[in-house]
Amino acid sequence: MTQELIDTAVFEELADAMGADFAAELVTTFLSDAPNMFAEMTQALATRDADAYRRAAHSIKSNAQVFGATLLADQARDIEMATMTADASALTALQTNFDQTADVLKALLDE
Amino acid sequence: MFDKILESCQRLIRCSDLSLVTLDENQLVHLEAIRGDAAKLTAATYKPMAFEQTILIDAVRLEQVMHYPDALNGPDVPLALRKIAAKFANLSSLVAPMVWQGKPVGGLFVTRILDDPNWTPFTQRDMDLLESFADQAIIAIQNARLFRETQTALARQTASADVLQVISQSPSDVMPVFEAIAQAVYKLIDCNGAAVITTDGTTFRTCATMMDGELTDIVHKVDQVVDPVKNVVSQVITNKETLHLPDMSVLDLPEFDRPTRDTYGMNASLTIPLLRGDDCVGVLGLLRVDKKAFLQEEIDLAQSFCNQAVIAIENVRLFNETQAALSRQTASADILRVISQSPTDTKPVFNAIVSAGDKLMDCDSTTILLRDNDVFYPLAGTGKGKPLTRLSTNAVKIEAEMNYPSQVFVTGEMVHVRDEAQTDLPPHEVDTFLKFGMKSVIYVPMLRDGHCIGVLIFTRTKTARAFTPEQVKLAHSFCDQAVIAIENVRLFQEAQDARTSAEEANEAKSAFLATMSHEIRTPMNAVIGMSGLIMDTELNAEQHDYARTIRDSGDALLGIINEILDFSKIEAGQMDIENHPFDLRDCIESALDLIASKAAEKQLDVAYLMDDNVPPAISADLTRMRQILLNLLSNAVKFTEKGEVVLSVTSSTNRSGKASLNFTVRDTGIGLTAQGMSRLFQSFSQADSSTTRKYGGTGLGLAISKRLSELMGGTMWATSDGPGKGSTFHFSIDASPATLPDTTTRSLIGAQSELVGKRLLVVDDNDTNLKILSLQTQKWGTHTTAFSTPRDAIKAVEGQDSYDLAILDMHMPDMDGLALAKAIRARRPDLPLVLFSSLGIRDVEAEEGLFAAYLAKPLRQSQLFDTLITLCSLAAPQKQVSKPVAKPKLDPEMATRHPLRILLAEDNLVNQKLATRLLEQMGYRIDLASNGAEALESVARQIYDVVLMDVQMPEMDGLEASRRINADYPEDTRPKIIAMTANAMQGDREMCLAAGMDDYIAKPIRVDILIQALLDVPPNIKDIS
Repeated sequence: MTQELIDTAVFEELADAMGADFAAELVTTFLSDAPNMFAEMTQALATRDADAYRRAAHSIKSNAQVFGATLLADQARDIEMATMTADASALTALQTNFDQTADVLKALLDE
Repeated sequence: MFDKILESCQRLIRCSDLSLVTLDENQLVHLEAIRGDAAKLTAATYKPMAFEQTILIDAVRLEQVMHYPDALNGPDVPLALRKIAAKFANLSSLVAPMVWQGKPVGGLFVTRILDDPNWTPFTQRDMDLLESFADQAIIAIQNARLFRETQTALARQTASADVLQVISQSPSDVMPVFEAIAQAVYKLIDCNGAAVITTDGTTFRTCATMMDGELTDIVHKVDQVVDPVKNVVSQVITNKETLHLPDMSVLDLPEFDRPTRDTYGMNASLTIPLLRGDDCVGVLGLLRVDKKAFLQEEIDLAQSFCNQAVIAIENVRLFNETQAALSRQTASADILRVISQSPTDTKPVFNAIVSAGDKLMDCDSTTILLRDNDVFYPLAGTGKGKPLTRLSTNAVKIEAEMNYPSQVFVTGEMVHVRDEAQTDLPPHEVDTFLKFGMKSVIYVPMLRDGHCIGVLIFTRTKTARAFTPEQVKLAHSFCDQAVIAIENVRLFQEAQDARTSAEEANEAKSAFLATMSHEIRTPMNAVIGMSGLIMDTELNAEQHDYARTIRDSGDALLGIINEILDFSKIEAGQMDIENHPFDLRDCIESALDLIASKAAEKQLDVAYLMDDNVPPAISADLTRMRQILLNLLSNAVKFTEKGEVVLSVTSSTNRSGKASLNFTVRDTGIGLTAQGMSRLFQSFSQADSSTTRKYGGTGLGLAISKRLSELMGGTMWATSDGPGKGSTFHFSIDASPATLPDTTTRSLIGAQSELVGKRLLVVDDNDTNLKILSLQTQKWGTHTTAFSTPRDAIKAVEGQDSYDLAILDMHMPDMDGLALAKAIRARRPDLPLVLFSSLGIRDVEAEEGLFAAYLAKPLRQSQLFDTLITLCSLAAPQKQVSKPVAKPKLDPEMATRHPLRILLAEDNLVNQKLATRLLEQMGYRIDLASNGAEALESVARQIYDVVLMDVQMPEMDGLEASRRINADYPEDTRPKIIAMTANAMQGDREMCLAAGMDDYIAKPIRVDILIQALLDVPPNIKDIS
């Protein structure tokens, strides 16, 4: 059993405070915007642009926190804090985590 | 019988031997009976012979009894007698002729051995006796003949009747008739074999044979080709004349007929054609072992059976033709039924056609070919009487000279191969015919608008037999049906496609509308936001008016777009109805809140009344229900110039156990005409076009509301007493009663201990409000006294009654609430007063402490309850009411109280939206910058009170932007800068402050911290003034 990808308490609080419709809109925005952030990270890794790499990770972390995606946020923060290397494994792992988190978020929307 | 005659003869005329013979038409003498010493021997060896060669010769010629006293030596003794005497012993003999009507029919003769002393010579008496015996014999013979003839006639009649009966009992099948005829013929005509044979002119078939007294197996089981050279039957069929062969032993028979003679030993034959008009439809054949000609009588009899056979054949043919016509009609009807039952698929139709084809076309297989441009392929077929499930999938190129189907496809003309053996087949067909053993085939075109779209093939494989004109006609009708089926399916498919594409187009249109509406809304937000911002700047009156017009128009447009979006969503079937538990009062009251200010502007009284049996919480779509309520309420306010708008809610339980909630919004407005009412719920339509001009609106609101209520299981309708008499809108929804997870909602139903017995004074000139206030408070247990004029209320206060609480309406014609309050206060200084008024009146309030509480219109029951409980508890402090701890809520009025011009610098979309939303809910309109550089530009262009600054941004980060702002603007005029960052690490805050920021908020944003940070920013004072 993996750790919960979404802290439902956080997510429900968001939905409660902002309205379910708006929370859904936010999730949709995040899901459509996130690929841009990952693209930025990938490109930053290729061009050794450490600032851009960190900034994109920061954005992902920040958004993940909004939805209670704790694991994703932690992983993104680790990348943000670490010194950038040529190793893409952290990015790959982050992407994998995002994909799973995205599924959970979509499922929450459908509820 | 003859024996009996001889026996009595022997008794009267003593003799050694005596015998009786008969003479037939051919003058042959037959030995009928014999007695005496030589009887056995003679009977065994006797052969019929001409009477001239017998002892009868003189007796017959002279027609008298002859006496030969000495056979060996006497004169004029017939040679035959002299031979007998020589052979056995000398004898004397008497010979009596038997003559009937002048014709000799036989004779009787007696002998005595001469040398035997026992015998004396015949006397005259003996001769007379013998003559009388001969006469008796004649009578006996005639009797017997008559009897036999009667018997024969009877037998023939019986046989005819039998055959006729068989004919009548066997209307569809000639075989039993033929068998009956063969049996009758065999029985009634002296023969050893009989056969009934049918022919269609080209072949003949043996149908029934009799041999040795019973029906036998047919020797030639297959049809034989009619060829006069090859057999007797063919000769008769061809010549249509009876062929009588009394002695076949001397003939040079064709090979086919030789076994009849050589194997079966038949030596005579009679072959009679069965003639129907000029057509020979068969033959009747009779065979005899004896070389004996058939008598004319026998031939006539046989002929009569032939006639019966023809009648039977005709009968059966007519019957079968009728049957065939009937089954063709049935098959047609069946196929048409299959056609109508399978509008999407031709396959069942084709299978029905090929199955019917085999049966009705009397063929062994039926195939349907279909054309596809320049090739054709098989679509359906039969083999061994069943539809084929696997057909060749190979397409064949259409080449007219190569095969018959191609030829039909190209010419559109039928091809009829009567007999493959006599046909010069095209190249491809040589193999095909060989492979499938095809003998006779027709290829019939399926024609649509003169083009051959398919070919129907009927094949006979057993024998080559041409198709009759009748069958060809039937084949064409099958083709017509196949074409109908194909057309049917094509048209159905086209209709289906057309419908599908229409639906797709409609969905695409709706989707486009939805997208467009969304795309329009986004810039509209900017128009509204920016015009709002413009209004916040220093403007002269004219500019302010323009800006307000822009903002109001934007608001109006946005409203329209939202309606269109909703409408297209509903149209596209994408409107999802949610189902969540919520507090019904909250929902109603929040809707009322939203129209309260408009109603207040027009000084309309707004009220709502909820039945006690309405469940406090229900499961339904809160947003959509509020949307409907809001639509009806704002319509009511919009179309009402003076008077009141009253919402009432009732509930009933429907059959499925759900609550059916009924909402009624009644106004005292312009009302409706009957015509207007009919147009009311149509999309893009209002009561009439003048309404649109005067009041605006898209005309979508009611259409949407009606659809929404229908989506929620209810409906919507309107009633009105006519123009100027107000309107009432009703709608219902189905909802399950729910319990809210958070049970902070109090029960507002029934008596409340804090209120029981309290004496309330209520003053309102509006009857509805007065009624609501009275009813509601009395339900809670109060003694409520209602007055519709201040004058009466003052009188009551002046009287002996002491009240615990007074609720005063603000807007009253003679004396308003303020004046009344002062009047009451003068008389009852301790009586707590509650002012019941439209929103905003609080600001106008003159004297502090005049009112203990305010009730806003429309009256919210929860608010009324709270107010009453609070005031009554204050009066009786021993009863403390614990107030529920309210969740921190975003105050939409915060921007009014604490106006700020806010710039949000944030690159991330999610964070942008979130922050924007939070601030909007506090009533703020904000500007956006998506990085530090843009933030600098905005600050340069425009005055802001505060910048909410993200730290991590591309181009220029928040820290750098803050440093620049600090560098470019003096401390007291620059906007305050609040950092918003997700770093949330130690040192972050210091870093931000060091960069010149004023405050710091960690992300994710916490509402209370945001509010506090905003409150810490000095408000834009000019806006308050």
